[in-house]
Amino acid sequence: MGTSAGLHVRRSVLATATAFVVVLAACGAAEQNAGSEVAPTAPPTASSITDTEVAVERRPAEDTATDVAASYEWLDQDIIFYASPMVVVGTVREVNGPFWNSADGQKWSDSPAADDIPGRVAPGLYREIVLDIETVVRDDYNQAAATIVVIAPGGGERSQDPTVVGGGRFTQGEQVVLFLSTQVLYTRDDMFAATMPFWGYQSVFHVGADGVVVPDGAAQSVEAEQNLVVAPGDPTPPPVVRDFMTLDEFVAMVEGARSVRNEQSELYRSDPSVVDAEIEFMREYFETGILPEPPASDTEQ
Amino acid sequence: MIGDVTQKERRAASGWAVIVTLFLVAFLPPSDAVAFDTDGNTINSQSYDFGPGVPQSMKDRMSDVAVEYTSRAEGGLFKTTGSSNLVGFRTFINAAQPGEGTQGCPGSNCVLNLNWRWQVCDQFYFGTGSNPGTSSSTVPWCLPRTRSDGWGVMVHEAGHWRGLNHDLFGQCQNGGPPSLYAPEPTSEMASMCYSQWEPAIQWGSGWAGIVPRRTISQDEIQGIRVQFLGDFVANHGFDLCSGCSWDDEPDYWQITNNANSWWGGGSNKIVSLNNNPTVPYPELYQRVRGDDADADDDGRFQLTARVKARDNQVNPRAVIFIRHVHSSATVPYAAINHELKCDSGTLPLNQWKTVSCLVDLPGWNTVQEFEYGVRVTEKIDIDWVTVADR
Repeated sequence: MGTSAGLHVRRSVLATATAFVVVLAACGAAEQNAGSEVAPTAPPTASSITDTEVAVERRPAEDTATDVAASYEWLDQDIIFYASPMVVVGTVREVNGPFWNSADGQKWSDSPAADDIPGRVAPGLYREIVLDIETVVRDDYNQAAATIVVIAPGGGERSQDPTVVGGGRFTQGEQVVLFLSTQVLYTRDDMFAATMPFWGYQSVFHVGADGVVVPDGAAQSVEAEQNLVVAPGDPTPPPVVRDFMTLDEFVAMVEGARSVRNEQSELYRSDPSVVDAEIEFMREYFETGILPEPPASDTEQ
Repeated sequence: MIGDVTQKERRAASGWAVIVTLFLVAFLPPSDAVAFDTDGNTINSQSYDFGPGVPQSMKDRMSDVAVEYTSRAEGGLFKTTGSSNLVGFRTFINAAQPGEGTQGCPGSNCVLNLNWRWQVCDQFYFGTGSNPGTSSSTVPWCLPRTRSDGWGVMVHEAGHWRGLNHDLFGQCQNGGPPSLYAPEPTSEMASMCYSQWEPAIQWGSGWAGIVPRRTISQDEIQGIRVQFLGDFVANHGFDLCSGCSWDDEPDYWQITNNANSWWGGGSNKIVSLNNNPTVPYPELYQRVRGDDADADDDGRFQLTARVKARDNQVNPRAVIFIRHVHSSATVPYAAINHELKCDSGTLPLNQWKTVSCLVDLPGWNTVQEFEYGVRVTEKIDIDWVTVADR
């Protein structure tokens, strides 16, 4: 994609994706009523308006296959416990999608193009998790509501996405503990502020029927261990770590995570205005192909 | 916190300079990477393009990656000469994602992308040293943190290019606590399965995250050769298996050539498998078609081996493995996984022990071909290995 042509297209897309922003904002409207008893509502269907003013309905991806594999970087769990601005206990009411990060939710291609501006948004799948909140453990910026919509990266376990659980595993009806933050949902057409797991699947915990809180993915490891057959007298393989807590213990642990200031974890804390700044920055960058000048530092003369 | 004055001072000192430097090279023409062997001879002139915004240090490290795969794997990082493959940056939907790569790059039009947001925020380290330092950026929404090792990430993503995937259950890279099937500390999936339960490479003192490895392991090399050369390289010292075919039926065990001196006679028996200290990890393996071991296609079958440790010089243990699962999935390479295994732990000396591993591959009931067997540390006898449907 040539630079000028690319920018023209991008401007056009940016201009016409406004409706998508509006609808997503409406989707998150319940989140603005922190603490109020908002009647649970089904998430609205996001849509956008194209250049020809034809509404584009977003719908679950018809094709979830991709030949691109994504990697994941582990973050110290204590940092997540400390820095995440919103921690909630709730029940998954709906798992919607997966959707590709496009206006219609469908697969799109990202052909390599060396002459494009760097950092162009890559195709990716996400799910919309509708969560009925039961307990707000932490809410630094008064974002929690009775029902929230969480954007979870990855196509989910029934998709053909190699990064199926990038943003965690979710099952309708299960109780979960989520560490959340406002982040930027990057799509082909635009970018939006969205409530997302603070740091991928590590931010997702499942509450079992026995009331024990299990990290995302732990159940699979435990099952694998249970399937292992060791002959009598043979050494027992190293056990799967089962340092699980009850929900009450887990919540108490999270509530106490900031009892002592942790400088390293403090570095990971940010408020929602940072997301607005990121969107403004990246919009300008994608529009012009030039990194915006950062604001003058407080220490600069 | 973004508003922290101390951080801003630090960012002001060096962060913006990084961004400026980045864009000084942003619009240079695409470059070719040429790999050289240790004597400086060109061994791979296949080219790939760098996207704009790629710093020279990253280009240098990508050349290192090319050397790694060229010299140690299957003769080249790319499959076809003159291919056009892009190495650059993209913005990902998952903020916790350092990179991505085309799984099983066909030789052209493939991508190896690193996270653009991380690059903007100076969160990659493309040097050759052991201390990546802390990111430093004046971009207001960037958070300072220990940099990730860009070299290791590129080795990992290049592994995807060559068809390697993460572990079978996604227990590394994608989720979960320590798993029985996680790689050992001397990980055989060294670059493809860096994870939280693999010992961290410590940068200085204190916790500094888990970083990917900059080299590929023997087993990863083996995985690449299986896919692209169709041969099989047993671990650590065996010659190539001759006469092996993916169509082999599981009627007999394949023993690697030149292992005859350890062959104890009988179709399924090896005695004193390895007294040769130069061959530390012998293995007994077999190739089967999935239906033979998993006739009911439920993804469950059991591998059992009879082993005896004869020496404890190397912490004798046996590892039952299944590797390189092939599937008829829409994305052919996505189903090529590396290895799933059960570890016996330390074996008692001079006692025959039966170790068993129930393999459960939920959702993978389209398994068609795989290898399974037992690998041992040196001086362990293997009596037999069997597989049974469950």
